[in-house]
Amino acid sequence: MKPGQIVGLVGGLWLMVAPAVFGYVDTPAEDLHRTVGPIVATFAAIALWAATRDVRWVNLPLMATVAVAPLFGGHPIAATLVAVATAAVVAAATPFGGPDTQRRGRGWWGVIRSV
Amino acid sequence: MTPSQTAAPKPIGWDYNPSSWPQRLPIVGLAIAGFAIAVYLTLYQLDVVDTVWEPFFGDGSRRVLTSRVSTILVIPDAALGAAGYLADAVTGAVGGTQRWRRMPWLVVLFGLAVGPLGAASIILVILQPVMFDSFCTLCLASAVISVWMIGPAMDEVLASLQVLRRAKDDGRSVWHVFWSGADS
Repeated sequence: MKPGQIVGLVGGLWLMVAPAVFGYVDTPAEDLHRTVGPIVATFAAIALWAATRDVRWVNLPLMATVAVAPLFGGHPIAATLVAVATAAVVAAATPFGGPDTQRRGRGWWGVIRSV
Repeated sequence: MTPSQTAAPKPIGWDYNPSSWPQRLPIVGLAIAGFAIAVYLTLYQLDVVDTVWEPFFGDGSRRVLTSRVSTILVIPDAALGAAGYLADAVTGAVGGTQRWRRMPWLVVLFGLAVGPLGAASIILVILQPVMFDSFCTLCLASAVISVWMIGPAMDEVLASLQVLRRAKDDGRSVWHVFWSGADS
């Protein structure tokens, strides 16, 4: 199981459809959610594979951006609720990346760092 | 010959061979599917076919595929996508099960082909609703394929980069190993 990635994938897709579901299209919140949503879903999908699992952490600053954006306006009540709830759920699930049972040498850090 | 002699060696410290066919064939298959979709969308953009299949978003595909963004380049953007998928399929298929060490240049090229194509697809997914207030089903399908190839492709890139790292740590020419490969 990779709960963090699955929740991130669903959360990203949810951000894409939420403006239509809750009727906040043509607002700055729509633009933000439909911009960040595909990116979050992308990183979550890439992180489904063990070799690239660490990219799931990129979703934390993205979710933080979505969560604090209502403070700067342009968010109807529904958009604010969607933003805060989605960000909280995705951020809370992100650390749970699932087990990695296979070895890959020294991993990506081994490429960057010298022996 | 014993099984251990016939089996393809794995990268040092790895539990599997990232260049084995079971690892690569699904990626090549996805790339071929993406290529087919992109060619179909290109034919629509070039007016070779009159309509485009769109089951969910009404006029969405037509609006997206005939937008000014789609013609910002000399060739239709779908044609660029088709070229990208073709590059993915070719660089994914060429080489044997030892290419992670014998052909690092090809594996890195494969990674470079897969990664930016996925990034470009996501940019187009973002542009669809933000700029055109609509979605295009086949464009979304193409984006899903692009993104789905990235994760499974990167472990092979990692194995090749580790070969180059070992060459550097051993004082060998990274440039030479990049083009000519290494023993392990």
